Amino acid sequence: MPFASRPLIAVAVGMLVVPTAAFASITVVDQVRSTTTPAASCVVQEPGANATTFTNDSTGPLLAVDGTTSVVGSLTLLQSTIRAEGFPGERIVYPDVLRIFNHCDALGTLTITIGSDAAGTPPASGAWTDVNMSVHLSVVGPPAAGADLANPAIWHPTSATVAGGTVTNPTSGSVSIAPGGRIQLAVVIDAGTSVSTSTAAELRWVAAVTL
Amino acid sequence: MSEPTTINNDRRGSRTRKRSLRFAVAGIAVLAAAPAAATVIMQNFAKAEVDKAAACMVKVAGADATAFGDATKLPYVAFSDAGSLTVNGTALINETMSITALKGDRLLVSDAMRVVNNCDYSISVQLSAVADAAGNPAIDNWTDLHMELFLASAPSATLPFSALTNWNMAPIVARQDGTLGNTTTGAVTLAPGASLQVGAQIDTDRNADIAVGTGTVRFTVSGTTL
Repeated sequence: MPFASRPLIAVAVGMLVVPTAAFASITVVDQVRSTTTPAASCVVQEPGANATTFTNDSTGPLLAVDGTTSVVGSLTLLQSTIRAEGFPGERIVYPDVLRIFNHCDALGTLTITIGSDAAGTPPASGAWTDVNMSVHLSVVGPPAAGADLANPAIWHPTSATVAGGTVTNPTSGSVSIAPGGRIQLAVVIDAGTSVSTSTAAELRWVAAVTL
Repeated sequence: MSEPTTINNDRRGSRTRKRSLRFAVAGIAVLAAAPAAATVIMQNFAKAEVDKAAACMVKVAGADATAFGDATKLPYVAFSDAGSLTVNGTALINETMSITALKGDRLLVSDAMRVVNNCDYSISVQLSAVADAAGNPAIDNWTDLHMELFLASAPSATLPFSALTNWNMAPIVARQDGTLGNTTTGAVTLAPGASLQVGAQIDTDRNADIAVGTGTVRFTVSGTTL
C-alpha cells in the first residue's frame, strides 16, 4: 500500500504544478486605519419666519417646522418636518419656510432633491390627489428674500416639483452658500377644489450641501 | 575415514545452520522496521535574493483630503502616511484616513484617499476590514456611527455612491453596534498608472457622545497582479 500510494501523490503534485504556473500572481497587502470622530453638524436647518408667524391652525394659514427624526438602523438622524396648510381652489406661497445655514469653513453648494429619506420612506405619500407643490431656493442669503419667486436675482428659477403625488422634477437648482451664510427655502402649494382636507400630503426631500 | 568426516561435516553443517538462523532472525527484524522508517534525503541548494525598491502600489491623499485637511475646520477629511506598524521588528507603512462625522447627518466623502498603481502590471484591488498586522482589532471604539467604505470601480468616480457613478457596490460596513457587516469590497482591476478613489458614507446619531472620541476601522488594501 505505501508503494501503491506514491504514484498517486506524484500525480497530485503534477496537477498542482500546472495551475500554479497559469495563475502566478503576487499580492501586496497594505495596512490602513480609518478614524472617524463625531462633531456637531455644520449644516443646520432652522424654521423660517413663516413658521414662527403662522402657528395657529384654527385661524390659518398654518406653517410649522419641527426637528423630528429619521431612524436608520438604530441611529437617529435629524430630519426637519414642515407642515404647511393649503386651501382648496387656491395657490399659497410660503416664502420663508426654512433657513439653511452653512457653519462649515468652506463654500458649499446647496441642492434640494425630492426622494426617499435615509430610512427608505418614499418621497411622496398621503393624499396627493389634486395637489401640486414646488420647493424653491433663494440665491441670496440674509436679509430675508422676498416673496417674488419669479425674480431670478432672488430665487433660483429651477424648483423641485411634485404634481398629484408624481415627482415631476426631483432636483432644484443649485445655489452657493458661503461660510456663515444662509439660504431660504420656499414652498408653493396649488390645491384643487377636490383636494382632501382630512388627510395630509407628505413630501420628503434631502437638502444636500456639497463642499 | 569417510564416516567421521561425514560426522564432522554434519557437525559443521549444524553450526552453520544455527548461525544462519540467527542471521535470518536479525535480518527479518531489520526488514520489518524498514518500510516505516525508510528515508532518502536529497539536498539541493538554492538561495533567495531579496532586493528593496519603493512600493509600486501606493496610497495618496484624495481631493477631499487635500481640500479639507485642516483639523481646526469643518468639514475635516485627512490622509497621512506617517504612521507605521512594527511587525517582527519591521516598520510597515500604516496610512490613516481621518474624517470628522457630523451629528444627526449623513456625510458622504467621495475622494478621501486614492490607491495608485505604479507597478508595471494590472492589479486587482480589494479592501478588507481585518485586524492589522500588529494584531489591533478591525473595529475599535465604534459607537453611534454607521459607515460604509466604498472603493471606486473606475477612475473619476462621483457621488452618489452607485454603480452608475463608478463605485463598487459591495462596501465595507461598520455597524452602529460596533460590529462589522460586509468585511470585503469587491475586487476592482487597476491598470498601470491609474488610480482608484476610496470614499465613505457615514451616518452619525444626533445624540452621539463626542466625548467617546474617535472610532477606528482598520482595513487592508490588497493588490494582486493579474
